Amino acid sequence: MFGTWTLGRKLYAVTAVFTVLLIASGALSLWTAGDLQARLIESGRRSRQILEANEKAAGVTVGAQQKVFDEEMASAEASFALTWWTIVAGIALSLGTGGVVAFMVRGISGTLQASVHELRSGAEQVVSASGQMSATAQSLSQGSTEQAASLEETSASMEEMSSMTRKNAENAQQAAVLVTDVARQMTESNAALTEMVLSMAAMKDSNSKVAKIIQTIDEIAFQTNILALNAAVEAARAGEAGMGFAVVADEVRNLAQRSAQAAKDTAGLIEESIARSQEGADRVEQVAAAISTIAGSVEQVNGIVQEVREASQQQTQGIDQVTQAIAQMERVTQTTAATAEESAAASEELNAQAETAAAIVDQLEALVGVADMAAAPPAQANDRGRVLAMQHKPSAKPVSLPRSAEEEIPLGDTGTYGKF
Amino acid sequence: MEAMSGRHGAGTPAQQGAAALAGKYLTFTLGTEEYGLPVLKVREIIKVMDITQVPQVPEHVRGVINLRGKVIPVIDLRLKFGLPSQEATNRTCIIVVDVAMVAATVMLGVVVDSVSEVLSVAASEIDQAPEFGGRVVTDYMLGLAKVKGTVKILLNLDRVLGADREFVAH
Repeated sequence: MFGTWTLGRKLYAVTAVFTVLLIASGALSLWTAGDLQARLIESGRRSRQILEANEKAAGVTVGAQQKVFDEEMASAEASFALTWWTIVAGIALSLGTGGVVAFMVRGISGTLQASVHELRSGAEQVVSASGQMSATAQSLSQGSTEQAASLEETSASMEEMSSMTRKNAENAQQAAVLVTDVARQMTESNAALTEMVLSMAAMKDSNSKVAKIIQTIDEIAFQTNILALNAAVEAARAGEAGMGFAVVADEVRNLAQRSAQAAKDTAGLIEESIARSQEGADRVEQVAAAISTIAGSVEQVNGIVQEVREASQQQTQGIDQVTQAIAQMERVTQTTAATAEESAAASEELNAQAETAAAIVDQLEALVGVADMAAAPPAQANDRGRVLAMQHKPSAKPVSLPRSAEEEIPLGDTGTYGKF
Repeated sequence: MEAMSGRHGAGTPAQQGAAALAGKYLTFTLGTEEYGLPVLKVREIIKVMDITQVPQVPEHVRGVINLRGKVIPVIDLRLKFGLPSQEATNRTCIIVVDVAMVAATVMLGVVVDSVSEVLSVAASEIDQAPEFGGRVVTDYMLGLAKVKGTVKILLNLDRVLGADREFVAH
């Protein structure tokens, strides 16, 4: 029962006991002194009676003896009065001493209570803060882990993209080669077509010359025909003498007509040929124009493909850089995750130490008795502290065994906790 | 010619006329038709050459040409026959003929589209110019020669171009 008493209460109790004992002893002394006095007075009275009886019997003068007797009796009474007063003074002194002691104990206890109260509030704050810190550290750890997973996925995606881009660049390269080839072939075709156009023009020219020659032949045939006709006319005018000549003239005329017919046919053919070659030249020019356009387009395509190729290469470089950055981020994230884990563990240890501190504070509170001791007994205050600690504790880890802070927490890294 | 006339002398008057017409003709084209001239009327055939235009002459007289130092008038037979005029082609020829005028026989150039041939026409192939009825004058035709499925008009140039009334009236 006395184990749960506060220090002040114990001091009060001791003081009270001593005071009561003192008062009791005083009272007993008083009573004993009173009794002694009464017995003494009774004895004196009986002595006087005996003395008076003797006096009567003896008739002796006892006046002197009686006088002495009365003086002795008065002295004894005075002595008793002194004793009584002395005892009363002792009781009063013990009462005063008890009051002084109580006053002093009260003062010391108040100071201690204030300190313990502050300690308690500090310990509670530390418990709360360490709980929050632990939660934060665990959250950070979880976040870091998730981030690491995301980064892993991103890295995989980036690698895929990188391979696609590389393939793209290769295809663009191939396309550029093909387009260049096409452009060269187009240029060659264009040159061939130009030559063909020249050939057609030359052919047309030749045809024109042949046409002119044919025209000349036709002209000659016509004139020959006229000559033959004139000869026939002359032969007719010559009558019988011109008969043979008429035959010759007729033959000449026939030849001229055949020549004219041949020239006419040839001219027709030549004209057809000229028309055909003109058509061909037109077609060839159209084709040449088309090829020129195509060549221009091919040139443009070539430029575009080159741009695509360069862009793909730059993209590849960019993706490589991004991949490196992601790798670095992964490392940093892993470090962060590890640090967060350590931090969480340290926070939990800190929490445990705060628990221990709170328990010690509880004991201190129990020892000195807090201001609200009447409302919350020490045992209940202790329980309340545990409950508070449990609320701030995110892990299901039970209250760790009381160990010294230096054992569990690397105070070198977290110097802030060293003061605790 | 004389033999041919004699051979057909016993025929009808028409046949006699046709027999007189048998002989050689120089044929030429004018428009789409073929015409024939007695070859003895023809002096020569020349290519069309520069024609010097002469004022104050009928429309069908194209002008004059210089034929080896001799100036002869040139008639456009298209215009004379009322056909539309036509630019000279490389087939256009001038036939120089003798035409009997009032005073004397003169040489004239006749512009035709083209000259065809010297054709011998037998009397059997010649018909008289038919009567078209009315007042149609057909005396510029000697007759019609039926050769190879076609009909050639044999012209009497003395009537067409010579000093007959109609010509003078122009």
